[in-house]
Amino acid sequence: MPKTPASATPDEMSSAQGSPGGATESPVPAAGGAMSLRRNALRRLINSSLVAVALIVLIVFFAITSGPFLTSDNIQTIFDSVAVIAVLSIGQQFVIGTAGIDLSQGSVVALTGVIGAQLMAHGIVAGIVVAVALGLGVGLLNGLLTAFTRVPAFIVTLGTLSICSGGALLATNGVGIYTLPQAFLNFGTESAGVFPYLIIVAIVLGVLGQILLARTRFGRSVFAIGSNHRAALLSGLPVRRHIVLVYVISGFTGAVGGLLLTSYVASALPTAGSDYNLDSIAAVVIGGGSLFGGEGAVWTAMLGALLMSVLSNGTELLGVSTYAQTLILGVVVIAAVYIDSFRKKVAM
Amino acid sequence: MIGARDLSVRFDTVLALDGVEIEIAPGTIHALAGQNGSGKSTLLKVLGGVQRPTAGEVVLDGEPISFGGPADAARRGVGMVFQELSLFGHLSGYANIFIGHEPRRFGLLNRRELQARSRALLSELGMPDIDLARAVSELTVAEQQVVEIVKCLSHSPRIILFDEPTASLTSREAVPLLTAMRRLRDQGYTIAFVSHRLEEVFDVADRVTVLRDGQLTWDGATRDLDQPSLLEAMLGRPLDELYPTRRAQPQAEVAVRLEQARCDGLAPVDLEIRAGEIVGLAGAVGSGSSLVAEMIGGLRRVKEGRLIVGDRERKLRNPAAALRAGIAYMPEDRRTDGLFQQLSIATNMSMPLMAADHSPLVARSGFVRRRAERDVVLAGVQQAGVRPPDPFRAAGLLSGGNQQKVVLGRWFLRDLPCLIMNNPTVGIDVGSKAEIYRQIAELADSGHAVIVVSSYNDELLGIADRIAVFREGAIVGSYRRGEVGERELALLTLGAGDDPAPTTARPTGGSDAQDARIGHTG
Repeated sequence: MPKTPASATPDEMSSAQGSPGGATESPVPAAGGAMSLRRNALRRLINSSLVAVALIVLIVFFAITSGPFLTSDNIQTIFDSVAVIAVLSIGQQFVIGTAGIDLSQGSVVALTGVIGAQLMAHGIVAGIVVAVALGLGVGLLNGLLTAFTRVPAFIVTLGTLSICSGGALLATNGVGIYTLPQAFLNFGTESAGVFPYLIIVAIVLGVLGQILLARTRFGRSVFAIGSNHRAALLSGLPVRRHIVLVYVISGFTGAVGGLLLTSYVASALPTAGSDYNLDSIAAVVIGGGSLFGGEGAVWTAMLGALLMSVLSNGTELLGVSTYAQTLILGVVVIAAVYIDSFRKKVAM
Repeated sequence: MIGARDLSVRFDTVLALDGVEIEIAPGTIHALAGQNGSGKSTLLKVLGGVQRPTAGEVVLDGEPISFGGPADAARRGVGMVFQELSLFGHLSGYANIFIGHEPRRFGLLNRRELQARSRALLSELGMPDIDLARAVSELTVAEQQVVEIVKCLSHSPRIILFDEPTASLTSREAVPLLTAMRRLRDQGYTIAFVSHRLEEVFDVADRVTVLRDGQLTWDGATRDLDQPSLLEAMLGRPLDELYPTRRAQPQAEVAVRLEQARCDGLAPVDLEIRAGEIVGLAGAVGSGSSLVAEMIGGLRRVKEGRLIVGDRERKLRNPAAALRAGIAYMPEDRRTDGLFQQLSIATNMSMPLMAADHSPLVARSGFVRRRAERDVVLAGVQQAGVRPPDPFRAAGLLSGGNQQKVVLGRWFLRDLPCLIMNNPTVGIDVGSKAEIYRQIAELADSGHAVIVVSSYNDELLGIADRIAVFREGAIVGSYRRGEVGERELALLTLGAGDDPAPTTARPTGGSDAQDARIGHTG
């Protein structure tokens, strides 16, 4: 287990992403005066966290244009709305780092949510344990199929997406569960200052995930496998074991997401997952991770999730309809990848 | 006539071409020579409209001209044959050749004319035997290269620019291609080609332009040039010795032994590699030399017979098992199989050591010891001679020779007693080659057992203590240094009385090179 989570300051995180993560840092040119050095520093900032820059711009924009945006109530709302996607994006970043993809996260949220809720009749702990075990199990299935068969991850997780959705509907007969222990519901609504418990869970998991990805041999292997599967094998990495592991992590985050969502909305709906199926992938991509694997960071993926929430919250306050918000989000995802491809070209 | 006046190209901070003048006379073959990174490919790309010059101008028929792109250049009669084959693997040869400008009739594809015109172009090249109806991915690399050329001819150019046409071919496969280039010249085409194989420059070129660090260092008729002065123009210094002298003898101790070991496509093989010995495996593509290397490297199961490492028989289930037994394998295609392109040089070099059990770079908790990693990597970059020596640069940005140094450098960091290299010098320049030969010799001098698979016989004769020759999936001979000469070795690898027209001949042994790739992707 990590020694000191506090040591992972944002600054260190960005440098950790820059060096082993890949081509993000352009080398200091041999020749060139102060001008090019300054340009280089700017470039490095933009390179290391384009999403952070974009997020700050958005926050400033909404703070100016919309009065209630920076109130503590609204900040809490944003945190509440981002918590589930943020947790999912952690697991998704691991999977995408290996050049895989996990489409099943959303239905794992639904399945673990309803099963966990059903079992909470026998105690909160029982519900949590079973829900987490279920998430790990689905992740294990995804991982084993991806690592040991020739079925691509896209198809494997598309299949388990359907399996989990079906399972959630079967288990509940399509009816939501609304009777939940009061203590569990309280967790979903209480907060420490402006930080709801939900977002605290997400942040803690995010810090652990970031450390795991950026600082350990396992994390290095994730990017190595995503960058070149064959070269990873020839380097002696246990490629299959690591592939299984990233899907297990993703399944775990799905289960945590399911529990957080259930406690927040005070109910478990078998159809809850459909809203989340692609959001975590979008978060990773907005954060600068490549779907071809080999790069990205947990903290940028989480910022990607936050950016999506800020965007929908801010536009909401400006009176933009939910439908239009969905449309805007699509534009943002494409723009993020477009800008990112430009950044990589510059780095080359 | 095509040429350039005072041409410069700047990439960010690097001056790739610096005031280059060139004139390619009509009806000649003009070679552009130089090491990797000398700017020769950039020059060709500017002439072909792929790259815009930063300063200076391209001159076509005496007029300054600015191409809008390769398609524009093609319209004006300048065609380019690219180094990276730009073919669609699952389409037929026919479909590839006229892609984008298919002959049409009533708005529909005129298949008959397309095939007739393709075949006419193919016989113009003197190679009518290639089956254009097959999917391009089923053709050999040499045949694909021909399809690429025919595709270029289909735009009826006057001037054809070849970017390293023989880089991915063995010297035997290159012969018909060079013949085709001569034929094209004799039919009135003007040809410029980039190459770093000296022999073929002397073989086909009428004139040579040599570049070094973006500047022109020699320009003139080939007959005024000999090999040493060409090398000197490329390197900027005379190349004393391409092959290093050995300081130690092979030891008595056997590092790896095969006893009647076989796998699919390979007859039972007996082979011994001693500590401190460089064993060369010679043979054409498909001869089985790669299969033996892959068997020892854990990429391929030994079906029968025994593989003995040190004094123990081993069953190597995968590369990781081979590494644990002390055997490292360096693949032939470093871009697709060897390198983590978008990861840093540091990560590329440290990965095998990091993957090791009880790695010094990893704490027991699983955390990377970053300080230890940095120290080890800095030393490794130095020892491997990587240029530029910046460990945080993405490995994919390096030149071919330096990428190979990174891949080799991994095994300085994770120091194993046996190292297998599959064609370690394919597509890299002379300077880097000399460096890699020196490092191979040093590995052997310090007691490592080294296996080098190569389709270049001259390099095996230069560095190997012993050469095992493969043909059609079996060993046909084994020779100590000095026991076999270049001519004899060539005959052995080709097979005496073998058909000397290799482009149309499929590799024997069921193209096991391709099978090999399919066999271990999972």
